[in-house]
Formats: sequence, C-alpha cells, structure tokens
Amino acid sequence: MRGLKQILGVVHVVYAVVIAVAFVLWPTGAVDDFWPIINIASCVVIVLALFFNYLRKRAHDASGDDGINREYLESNLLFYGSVVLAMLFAFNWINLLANGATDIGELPLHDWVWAIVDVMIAVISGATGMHLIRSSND
Amino acid sequence: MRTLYLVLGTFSILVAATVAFNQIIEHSGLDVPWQEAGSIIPWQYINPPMAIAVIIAILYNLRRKLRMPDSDAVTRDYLETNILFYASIILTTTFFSNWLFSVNVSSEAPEDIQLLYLTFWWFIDPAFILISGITGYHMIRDAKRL
Repeated sequence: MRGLKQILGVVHVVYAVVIAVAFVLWPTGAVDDFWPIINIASCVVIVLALFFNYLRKRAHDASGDDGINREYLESNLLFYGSVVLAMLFAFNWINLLANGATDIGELPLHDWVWAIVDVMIAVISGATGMHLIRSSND
Repeated sequence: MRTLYLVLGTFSILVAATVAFNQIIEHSGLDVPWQEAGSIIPWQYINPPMAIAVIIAILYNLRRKLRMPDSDAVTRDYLETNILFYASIILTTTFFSNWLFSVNVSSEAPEDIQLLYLTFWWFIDPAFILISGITGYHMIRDAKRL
C-alpha cells in the first residue's frame, strides 16, 4: 500500500503540472490534438483523488477529534473540492461527448467551465499527490 | 537577501497599484491625450511587469509554504501561507493562459471566444492586485525582520 500510495502521489503531482501547462498553452492551439487523451486521464485522476480524499476525510471523522486543526481543514476542503470538481468535469465532458463543443445560446459557457475544471485539477491533484507522498512515509 | 526582498516587495506593490489604477480608470470615460486602446496605460505595457510579479509571488509563496513549521495547529500564518500559495498557482495558470491568448490569437479568434477571455481578465486583474500586493507587503515585512 505504501509503494502504491507513493506511485499514485507522484502521478497526481506530475499530472497537476501537465494539466497546468496544457491549460496555459490552450489559446495557442498547440495541445488541441491531445485534449481527448487529457480528458480520459483527467477522469482517472479525479476518480482517484475523490477516492483518496474520501478515505482521508473518513479517517479523520473516525478519529473522534472535535477540534479545528489542519487535518480537519485540509481533509474537508480536498474532499468537497474533489466532489465539486468531479461534478463540473462530468457535466462538461458528457456534454462534449454527446453534443460536441457546442454551447448554450451565445455564451461560451462550456469553455468557462473547462477553465475552472483545468485550474481545479491542477490544484486538487497537486495537493492530493503531495499528501499521498507524505502519508506514505508515515 | 534583505535588499532583494525590499526591492522585489516594492516592485510587486507598485505593479499591483498600477494595475489597480489602470483598471479603475479604464472605464471612467476620462479623455487623456496619450490614451490608447481604451486604457490610460495600454495593457501590453503592463502585462510584462505583471508576469514578473506573478512569478515572484508564486516563488516567494512556495518558499514560505515549504518553510512553515510542522505542526497540526491552524494558525494565521498557516492560513495566510496556504491561501496565498494556492491562489498564486491559480493566478499563474490563468494569467499566462490569457496573456498567450492576447499575444497570439486575440484578433483572429471568434467574437464569443474574445468575450470569454475578456471576462477572464475581469477576475485575473483584481486577483492579481490582491495577491501581488499582499505578497509584496509580506516580503517587505520579512526584509525588516532579517
């Protein structure tokens, strides 16, 4: 379990950097061909983040610690952040697969959501990965 | 190190103040002879110093986070350090993405995409003013303690 956590932690951190770079390069069109692969990889990373952050929150809830400490803040922020990220990602990805890159009305709604999703993946995946690496050493 | 912190901190605050001034004045309808592209100071001159200030902010806030004492207590320093660090990551990615759009493809892009990126600036600029200003203030405060 320790080795697996370490590997998945590194995967999460590396993926956070990859998605941040892809997001920065998005306007240039340099990564246009890679988005279908990035979306599948994002889906896997989000599901793993949701799973590990749920385990972390459950462990802290079960500890019976009623104080507001770092572990309480971090486990709750990361878990609920992962839930919001998973919902936004699913909303946009399903729309993309079902309807193509079309928007509702005149507003570029889905591009807006992609921007939020990409930035959230970079932050949540990075923070989840760092926690997995640190906790694998405990 | 003290002088470096003082210089970089002052630079960050000055750029934040310039962006704040330009953004507030931009839609005032003020007619000045040097006005170009709808701004008192054209944004293409402000973006390069903004990019430097964004890099300063992420590096300084990463250094601050890595040096945080290992404890489980939720202190002011813990909250401020983490909020500034993660806000700097978000600011860095959105700023450089938007800047690349402005430099590379802005004029050729469809109108709705131009509108999308314009609305991003409405969030990036106030976030920049806060993050760069606060980071600069912390750097100057750290310099005084060294």
